[in-house]
Amino acid sequence: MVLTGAGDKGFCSGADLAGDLSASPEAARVINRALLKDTPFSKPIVAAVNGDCVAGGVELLLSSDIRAAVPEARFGLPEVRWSIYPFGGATVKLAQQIGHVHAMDLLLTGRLVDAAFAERVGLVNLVVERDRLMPWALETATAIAANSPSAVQAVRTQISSAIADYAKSREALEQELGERVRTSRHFAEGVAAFREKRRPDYS
Amino acid sequence: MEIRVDRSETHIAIVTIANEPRRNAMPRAMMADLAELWDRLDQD
Repeated sequence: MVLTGAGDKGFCSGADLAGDLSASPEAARVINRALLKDTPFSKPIVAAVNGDCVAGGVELLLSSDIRAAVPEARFGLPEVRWSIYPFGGATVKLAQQIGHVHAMDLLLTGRLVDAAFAERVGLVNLVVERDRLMPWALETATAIAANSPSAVQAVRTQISSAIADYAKSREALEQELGERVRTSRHFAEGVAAFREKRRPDYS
Repeated sequence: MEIRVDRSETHIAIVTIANEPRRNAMPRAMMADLAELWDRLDQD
């Protein structure tokens, strides 16, 4: 399948921080499933990153298989800036996919990087001009679809199962850490600063 | 605000996260829709 975002500004910016930020076990289950964090999935996903890919958008991207981005796309995990724990999979998948130093750069600084950086560190396979993005995605998906469905889905299932097993093994600590951040004195300030479009003050 | 699925291509589903005013951020209900969609597509 092909995964993309509507319009030309954003691929996905993750959870809507204007909405519900509670984290009940049921909410965590839904988010984990939506971002394919810890469940095996048999169908290949080709990501066509048509614009900014931020926070949970990056975590969703990490669950895709082959990825291209337009040159204007920016990538980032700004959660720590807003005192939010990125528990949609970035802490357990990103270092495996792009290496420790690049993962920690994104996770700890919260900065946005451009598509050329994303290509250089292997977060995406390639950068393509906007008018070539969906044709590339469909050509890639078509090439996969021409192969044996049984073999393709077996490969996808095995690899996603390995990733899911690792994510599950870290889930208890993940939720504990998320709750620790959510109940910290920094959380209210971070979320308020985000909603008020100002710099947070953690002093 | 929705998760769109286009199945007009043979053997390929195009899934589009559509919430343009918020750069395709996903409120909790949209997350639930996406989770259900993955379940359906995985069973196809």
